[in-house]
Amino acid sequence: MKTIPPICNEPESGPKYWRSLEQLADQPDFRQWMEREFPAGASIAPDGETRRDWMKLMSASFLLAGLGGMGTGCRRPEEELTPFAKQPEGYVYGKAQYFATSMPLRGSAVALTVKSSDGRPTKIEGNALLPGANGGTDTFAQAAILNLYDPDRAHRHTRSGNDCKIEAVRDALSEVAKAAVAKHGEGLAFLVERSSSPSRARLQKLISEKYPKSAWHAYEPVDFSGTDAAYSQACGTPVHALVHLEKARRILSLDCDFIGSEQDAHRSIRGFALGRKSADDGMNRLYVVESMMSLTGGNADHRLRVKPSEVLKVAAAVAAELGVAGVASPSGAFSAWAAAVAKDLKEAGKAAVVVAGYSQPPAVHALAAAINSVLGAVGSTVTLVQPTESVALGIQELTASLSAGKVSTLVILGSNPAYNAPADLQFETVAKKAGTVIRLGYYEDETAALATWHLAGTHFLESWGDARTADGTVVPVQPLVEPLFGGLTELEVLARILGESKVSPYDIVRETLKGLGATDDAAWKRFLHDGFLTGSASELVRLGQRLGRRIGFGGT
Amino acid sequence: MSDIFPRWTNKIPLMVGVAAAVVLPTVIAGITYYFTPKYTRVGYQPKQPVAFSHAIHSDQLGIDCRYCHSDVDKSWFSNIPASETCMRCHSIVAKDSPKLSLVRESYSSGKPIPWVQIHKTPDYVYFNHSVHVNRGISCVKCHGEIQKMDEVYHAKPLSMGFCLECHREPEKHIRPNDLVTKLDWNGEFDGKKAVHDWKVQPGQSCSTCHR
Repeated sequence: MKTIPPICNEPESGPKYWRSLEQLADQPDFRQWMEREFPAGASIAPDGETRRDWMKLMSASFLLAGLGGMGTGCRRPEEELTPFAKQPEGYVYGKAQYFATSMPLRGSAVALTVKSSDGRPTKIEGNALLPGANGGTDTFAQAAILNLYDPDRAHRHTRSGNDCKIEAVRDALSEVAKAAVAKHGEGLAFLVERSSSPSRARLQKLISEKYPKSAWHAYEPVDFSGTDAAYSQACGTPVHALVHLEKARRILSLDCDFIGSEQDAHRSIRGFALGRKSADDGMNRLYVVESMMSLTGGNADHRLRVKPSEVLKVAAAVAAELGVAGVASPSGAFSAWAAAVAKDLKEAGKAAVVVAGYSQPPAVHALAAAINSVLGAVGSTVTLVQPTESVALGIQELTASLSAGKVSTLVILGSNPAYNAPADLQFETVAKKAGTVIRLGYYEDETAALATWHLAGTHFLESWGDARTADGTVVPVQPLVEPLFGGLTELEVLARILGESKVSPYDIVRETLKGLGATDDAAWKRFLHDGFLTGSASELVRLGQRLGRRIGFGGT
Repeated sequence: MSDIFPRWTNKIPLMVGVAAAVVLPTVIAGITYYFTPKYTRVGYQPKQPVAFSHAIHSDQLGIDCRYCHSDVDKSWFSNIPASETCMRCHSIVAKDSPKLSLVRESYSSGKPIPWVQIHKTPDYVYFNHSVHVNRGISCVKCHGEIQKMDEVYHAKPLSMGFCLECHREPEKHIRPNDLVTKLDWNGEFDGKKAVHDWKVQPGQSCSTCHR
C-alpha cells in the first residue's frame, strides 16, 4: 500500500523553506514524480520469464562467473610498470624531493620546505635553514596543501561567464596596456590585497611611473595593521613592530591570540615555546585578558575573562599602575588583577612585553605601545624595523571614484570585495559602473560574477614569486608543479598591463632579485636552494627612547 | 513397537570420524600446497611487451644490474629503466632491430613501455630494496638466477616464511657488499662477522614489515 507522507503545510507567513532544488523550481514532472511512489513501469510484469526465474538464472550465472576455473576471481590482476621514457636528471623513483619556497601572507610570509612525491607537492613544513625559524609553520600553512588540490578552484578563464582561451586573455590585457598608454592611465584602477612581494612593489612603481593617472587601492577584510599603526603614530614615522616572545619573561596579551589566529603565528608559537622551556632562567609567564577561550588563553598562567568592552579598561588600569602619562585608572572587578600584573611587568622591566590583538581598537594598541615604552621593552622584546609595504589607497576611495564614473577599467587582483567589502559601500553596484572589470581570482566567487574577464589564479605552490617574512628577509616563492589549470600569477598580469617584454614571472623575480643583491647565477641558485636571501632583513629604526613621551593618550 | 532408528545408524559416529580423518588432512594439505605463493606465484612468467633477455645483457655481456636498475641502492623501489637507458646502447648497437621497435617508439614519443609486473609485495608489506642491497643481500636471494633467464619468471615464493627464513639467520645469506650484483658468486664469507660489523638487525616483529 502506498504510504502517504505526513502533510507538511507551508506556513501562511514567514520564510518558506524548500527541501530540494527541484521543489524550488516546481516543474510539473517533479510534481508527478513526487506523487507516485514507484517509477513508471515498475508494476508491470515482464513478458516470458517471470521476475523470480530471472533472479534465479542471474544469481547462478554470477556464481559460475566467480568460479571460472580459478582464473578470474582468485588470481592477482596483471599490473603494468610504466617507467619514464626519458627520466628527469637526478630523479630517484620512490624518493621524495624537497624544495624551499614560501607562503605569502598579508604583508608577510612563512618560509617553507615542501615535500614533492613523484612531482606532486604533498606536505608543507617550515624552512629550518632560515635563521630563527627552526622549521615552524602554523595551521594555515599546513592546510595550504589542500587548497592546491581544491576541486572548487577556478579551472578556466572566462569572458562574461563564458570560457575563453588564454590567448584572448593576453590580447585583452595588452588592449588595457594600449589604452593606458594613450591616456596615461586615466580611468585605470587596481584593487589588490596586501602583499610583501618586492617584485609586485617594483611593478607597482613601474606602473605608477608609466601611467601616472592610474590609482592603486588595497583592501583586506581583516586588518592586522593595528599594532604597526600605533607604533608608527607614536614614532611619527612608519615603522613595523616585531615582537620577540623568545626574549620575553613576562607576557601580557590583551586579547591577542598569538598562538592561533594572529598574523605570523608561526613566529610567535616558536618564540613563546622557546621562552617556555628556557632552562637557565625559568619559564616565561603569560597573562591573558580575553573574552573568548583561545589557544593562547589555554596556555596562560593567569587568564582574566572580561567582556570585550572591558579589555580597554584593563589595559588602561595596567598602564596607569605603570605610570603611563595621561592615563586615568578606571576601577572595576579587575583592579586587583591589573595591579598584580603591573607589579610583575615592572619587575621584569625590559624583559616584559605587552601585545594587543588585531580585533582591538586603536586605543588598546596605543596603550600596549605606551606600556612597552615605559617598561623599556621597545628595543628589547619589541624592535621597530622599516616597513616594506608599498603605499596604496583604501577601498573607500575606490568606490567613490567608481560611483563618480571615473574608473573605466578596474583590475582586481585576488580579493573578493563583492563578498567581503563593507556593505554600505555597495561594491557590487558601483563596480558595474566600470566599463571593464578584470579579475584574477582563485575561485569563481561573488566578484567573479561581476567581472568582464575572470582569470584563473595560481596557488603559491605553482607560481614564481617572492615575498618578505615578518622581519623583512626576502624569500622565494618557487613552484613545485606546473599550474594545474593553466592559471596566471599576479606578477604576469601586472607585467602584461605594463606592456613589458618579459612577462614570465620567473624573469620578473630574477630581475627584482638583481636589484636586491642576488646579481649572479650562483647567488640566485643559493637563494632558491636556501629559501632566503642572506642579510636582506629590514633595518632597525632607532626611536625607542623617545617613544613614551610622544604618546598623547587622553584617558579612557 | 518398531525401531525409530535402523541398526546401521549406530555406525554414524565411526563413519564421521573416519571421514574427518581423511578429509581434514586432505583439505589442509591442499590449502598448504595450492593456496601458498610456492604454487600460486612461482613460475609466473607473463609475456613482456619487449623481449628483453637478462641472459644476454647480464650473463653474456656482464652489464651490472645497477646500470639499468639504478635506484635499487637508493630507494625502496628498484626502478625499471627508462627507454632512454635502453637507447644509450641501442642507438648504436642493433639500432634497427625490429624487436626494439617499441623501445624506439617510446623514446621518440615519450610514451612509457608497459612492462608487466612480476614481483610484487602486497600493499600491507613494507619492503625496501636499498636497505637489503646495501647490507650484502644479493639480487639472486629473492629473484633467483635472473642472469640466466631469457624471459623473467617468478623464481622464489616471496612468502612470509621465505622472508623470515633469512631474517632469522642473516649470516647464512649475507655476502660482501661489492659482490651483491655479482650474481654467480659462490665463495666463502664470514657472515657472522659481517652481521655484527655492519650492525645488521633484521627485525622479526610484525611491525618490521607490516608497519
